[in-house]
Amino acid sequence: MKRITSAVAGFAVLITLTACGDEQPQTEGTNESAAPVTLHLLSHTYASLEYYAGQLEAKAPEGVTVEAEMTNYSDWQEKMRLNLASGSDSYDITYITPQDVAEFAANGWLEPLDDFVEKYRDEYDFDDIPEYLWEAYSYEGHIYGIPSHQWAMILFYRTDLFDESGLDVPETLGQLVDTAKSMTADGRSGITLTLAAADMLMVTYQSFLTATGGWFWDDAYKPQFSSEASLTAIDYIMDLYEYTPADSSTYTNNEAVVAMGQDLATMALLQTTRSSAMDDPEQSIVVGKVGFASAPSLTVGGPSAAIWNTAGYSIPKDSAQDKELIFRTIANATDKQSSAGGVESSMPCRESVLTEDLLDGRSDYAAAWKAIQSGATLRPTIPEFGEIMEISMTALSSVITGQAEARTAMEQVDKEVEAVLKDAGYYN
Amino acid sequence: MKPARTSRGVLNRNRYLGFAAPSVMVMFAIMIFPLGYAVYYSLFAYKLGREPTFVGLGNYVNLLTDRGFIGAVRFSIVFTLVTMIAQVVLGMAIALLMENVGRSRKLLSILIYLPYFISATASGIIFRWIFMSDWGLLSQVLSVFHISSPSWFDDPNWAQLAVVLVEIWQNTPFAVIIFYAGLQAVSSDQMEAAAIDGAGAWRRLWHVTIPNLRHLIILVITIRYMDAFRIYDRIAVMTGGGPGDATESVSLFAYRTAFTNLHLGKGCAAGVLILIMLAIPVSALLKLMRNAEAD
Repeated sequence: MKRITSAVAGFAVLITLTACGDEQPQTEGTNESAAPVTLHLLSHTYASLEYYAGQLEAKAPEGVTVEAEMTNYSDWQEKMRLNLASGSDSYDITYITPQDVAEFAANGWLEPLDDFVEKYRDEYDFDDIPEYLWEAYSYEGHIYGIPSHQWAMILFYRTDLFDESGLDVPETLGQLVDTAKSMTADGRSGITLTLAAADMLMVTYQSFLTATGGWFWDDAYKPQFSSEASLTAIDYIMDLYEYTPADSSTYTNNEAVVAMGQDLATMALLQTTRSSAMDDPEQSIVVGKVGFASAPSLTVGGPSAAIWNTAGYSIPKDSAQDKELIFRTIANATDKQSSAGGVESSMPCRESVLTEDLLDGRSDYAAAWKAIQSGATLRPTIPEFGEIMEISMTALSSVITGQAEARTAMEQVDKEVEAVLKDAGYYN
Repeated sequence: MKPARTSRGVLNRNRYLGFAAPSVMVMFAIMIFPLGYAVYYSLFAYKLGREPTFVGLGNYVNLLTDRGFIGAVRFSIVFTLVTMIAQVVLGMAIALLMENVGRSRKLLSILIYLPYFISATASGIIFRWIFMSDWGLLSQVLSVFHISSPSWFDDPNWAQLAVVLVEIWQNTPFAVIIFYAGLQAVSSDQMEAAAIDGAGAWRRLWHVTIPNLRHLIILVITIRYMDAFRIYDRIAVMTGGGPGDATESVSLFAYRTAFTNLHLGKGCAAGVLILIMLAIPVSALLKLMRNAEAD
């Protein structure tokens, strides 16, 4: 009995010592304690996100190691949601976009960064990041993310084929349809779009909706999917669908980049995050033959058929690591030097990097910047948008592939979306 | 005369129950508890991030009037029936072929079994790129014969056919393995007697081979029914349930409801309904199998 008591007491002491060891105090903002820290990042992946994941690893404070897990957007979203909802501390840094900020912050899953931003405003020159970007990462008055890069939907086009045909680069949606039609020849499609439901189809739909002057709901949050502006946007998408490669209804950015890069399409409406792939010999056989222009508008001078978006990094509320240390790790990776180093793969956020010189040398960024200034829209930042997107884009995919009539399907979408918004308390 | 119940007998029985306790606990932990948890939450309107509220059978009523769920059930039933019948017929034909080939049987069996060893996700990715109309392998092969490939993933009918074909390709080997093993056990005496009585190949198949394999046929139908009805991964990778929701299976619907739209209560209710749709036919099939074995 005595032996058992001694063993239990010894085990208890061991447990206590182990627990104490886990709670070594961190020095604010730096890892001055000797214990090495490993921060876990979960991120979506494409060229610029790989660059910034590399910066997080390379510029982490002394004693800090960053382990990056890169996956596609859907997997990132589902994995991160489940982790955050379950209160798991598996990840310390997460890739984030403004629409995810809204959902995650509304649920209290993210760490507010206001105090850190104020404290390190001068050291990291946060005033160099324009206000519209800080607003994008804010929810109910609090900042939840640090932006790393931004992008917009632009028109990719084959300069050699346009030169041969003598056609002008389309400036209006009507011209875009006509040009796509006349450029569909020799086994090459006139245009490629991202039409895979739900996320990528939403990118395309919102872009066209921006051009036709519509929005998802009115000021009282009454859904507007069956409005004339929305149906006009859908008409243009369906007109263009005639001249896209077969199976376009399943195209994400990846397939659209393959179609454009492998000489299977003459034009593409894609985001600037994919423009660098056109000059990458490993992904493209048309290196040096792809030009960029602002996405067409409904009428000349109107808003482009474009969305804009941005990605950055946030801190999960339940991370067990020192939040200030994590903040500094993110701030180091998105500072002016990192931002300047990332211009090859992504359009920077910082005003000191996004200069006239850069825009003069990069027609893709110039086109995106023009779209942003002409009224390109950010995806709605309400927590319910994920579900609304799933409902509406599944229906729109049925419309595009001829399984449903546009007005009837969109009227049904209005009803279902209204139920979602009502359930969430938008009409109280 | 019945033996008297002794306290020793009761003790022995309790001791045996003690031996079974760990298995029972494991069963409870991995089967009964999650199932009970799902049934419990299916009675709540529970959106992730909000407080659950009790709605009784509200989620079930909602599902039974949800055109998305009804469409998914319809697709899953058609998908299951078509693939199951095709796998049994093809499986039997290939097993008979293997029985009757000579030296190349080993090589043939490896080639036939191979698809079964590929993961469903990997096969989904492979076939997505094979069927892709403009640059897919199938399109290239068809173009040699001047045949244009259909838009496999743009057209709901072709998309449904594509996922059916890949399911048949991947899981027919399972039927082959079972039927081939069963054929080894069919008595050669019976076959010879039938042949002497003048029965041709077809009559021997219908009146000797198939009756002997009846319980194995039911076994294959049961297992393929369960797997096909629950299919998720390959469809998620190949078509994502599209175009629209043309290839959305019940599992894909339940997953989207719970983890994309975050309606955990409704997702759990969908899971419970799927379980019921599986349990009733499978119970009937198992009873049929027991009867076949008894015969």
